[in-house]
Amino acid sequence: MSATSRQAVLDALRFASPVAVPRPVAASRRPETKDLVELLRESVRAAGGRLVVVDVRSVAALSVAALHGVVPGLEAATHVWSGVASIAARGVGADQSCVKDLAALDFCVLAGDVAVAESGAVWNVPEGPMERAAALLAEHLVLGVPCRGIVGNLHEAYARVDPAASRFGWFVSGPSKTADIEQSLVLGAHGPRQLTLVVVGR
Amino acid sequence: MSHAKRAAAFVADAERTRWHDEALWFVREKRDAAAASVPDWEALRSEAAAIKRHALSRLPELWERFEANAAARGAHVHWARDAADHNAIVLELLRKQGATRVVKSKSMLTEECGLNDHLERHGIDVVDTDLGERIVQLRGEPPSHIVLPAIHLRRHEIGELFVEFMGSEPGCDDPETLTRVARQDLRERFLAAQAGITGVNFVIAETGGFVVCTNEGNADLGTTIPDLHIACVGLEKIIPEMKDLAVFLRLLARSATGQAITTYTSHFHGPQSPDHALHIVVVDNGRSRLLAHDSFAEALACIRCGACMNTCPVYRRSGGHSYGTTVPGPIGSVLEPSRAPARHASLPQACSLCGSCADVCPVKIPLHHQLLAWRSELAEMGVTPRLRKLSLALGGRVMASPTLYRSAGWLVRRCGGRLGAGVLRWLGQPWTHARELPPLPRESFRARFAARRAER
Repeated sequence: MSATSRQAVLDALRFASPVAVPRPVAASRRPETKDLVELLRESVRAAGGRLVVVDVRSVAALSVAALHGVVPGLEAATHVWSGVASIAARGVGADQSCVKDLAALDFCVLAGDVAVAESGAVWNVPEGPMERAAALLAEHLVLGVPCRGIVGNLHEAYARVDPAASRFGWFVSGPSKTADIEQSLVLGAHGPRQLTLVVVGR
Repeated sequence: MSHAKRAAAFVADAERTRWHDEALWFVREKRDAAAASVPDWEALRSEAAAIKRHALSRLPELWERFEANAAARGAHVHWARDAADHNAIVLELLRKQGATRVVKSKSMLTEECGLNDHLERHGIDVVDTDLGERIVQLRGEPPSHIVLPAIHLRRHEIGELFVEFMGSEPGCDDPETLTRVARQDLRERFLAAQAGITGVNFVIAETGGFVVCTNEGNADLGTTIPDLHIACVGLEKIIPEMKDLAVFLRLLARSATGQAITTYTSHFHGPQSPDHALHIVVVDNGRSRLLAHDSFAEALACIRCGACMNTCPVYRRSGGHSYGTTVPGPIGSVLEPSRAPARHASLPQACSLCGSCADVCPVKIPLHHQLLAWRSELAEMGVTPRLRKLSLALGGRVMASPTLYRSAGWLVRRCGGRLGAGVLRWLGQPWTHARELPPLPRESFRARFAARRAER
């Protein structure tokens, strides 16, 4: 059945297709003139998250000590998933035996490559389905991004990242949210209730 | 049943109508602020419209390219001519997997195909996981808005529903508490799910991948935990290149809710691990027919942001259910008559032709022009409502003959205000239901004109 359906659909499209319209020339983009870190801070706040700046060499060098005071609760947390080498995973985040156990995660700390100042979106490629689940099931998501990874808009972001290079990748902006009950915004719909974006270096 | 009759049921609750109107107008205002924050917003709209027009002129080529690229990444592509094909394919995939517990994220296409009913009839438990969609699913209703499915409901109604289905505290109508209750309930369902079904926002021909946007994270949880992901997509959703995403994603959430971008913008390129399976069901279901239609093909450029609904004075005051369609509002009134002209003939007539929808549309679909075009199209098909046909025919006849026109004017004026106005009111239905006619003048324009001339 599927081979004939395929043919039928494509034939119908060929029959219906209008005269070819050429691809438009990309419009010129006005670059963002505002201070990118400040614009990003504003965007992350609008998306329900929080931006902090930490002065360490790289995202890989982010440690629990470096986050002391800027991500409250991380030091004392029982269950932590870590995608950053210098932060040790703890509890169910260290066991990694079963996706379902990850629902107990207090924190998930991941590295992002690029952050978009105009929207607060951070590009992240999870290590695999378990890490992606951890980023969704943890109460608090912490994303580290290098300061030089901040770009003005999405056009610049797509010029820097290649989503087709991995099976899965996403832009994440703020904690998960919903306003489906009378348009009242509630943070933490199905995923994290809190998001902290850690900008590394200056 | 006509739009006006169904709308009457909605507007009977004046307080709800007022709230609905204001809530959606607030969303429209947020959209305006978000649009104003982007330099070159208008250039972006023009570019998006041009990319879509380009893509719609090359659909067979783009889809073949997508299919080859997706297959190379290990995804399976299925083709469905209509809703029945689509539902059969999805059911078959679930049966092969032995899945009976399925979580689904928002997809207007599966609503259009009636997928839930089909699966439930075959013993599969489907749970809509978007909070708004879950609410309307539990109520046994369709969504009333494509982005805000439960916008027609008030908090106490949702509270009562959750007492019944999720064991929440009776009397509780706090949105935060109710959201927590639903989160708990749905999280268990996510963890127990054997398959996840999602819609698709954009399909990328160049890479064989696709993008799904959500705020809640439900599409992501639903495709991370189970190892079978079925993505259902309409033929119109394809874009040529990855970089085109930047154009559309900058427009989509800003137009929809006034956010800069959705919380999650997820890019899928093949199954997410060697242990996962990814199936993509590509659906025509009337889209190729619409593509062949000069006046309406552009409606296929729609990216389903809902901005035209939020701004529409008719939609805001009549509610999504008054349209009796899967997609309501201005865009629905253009799309749906192509499926069942007689059934949806009243929709293009409900429009006031104010043009606000076309002003906010991120891909510049000329919605109000299309609605006007539908009126003539439907008239030619002979499915215009009988009374409207009668009043227009009568009006036409009278206007075409000076003698008839003069005598009709005389008759209406002579028969006194009451009878004349009564006839006009009857002919002008439903426009005249809530509107008073101005008092009829005693003499005609011609008579007054002649009298003034004589005075001079």
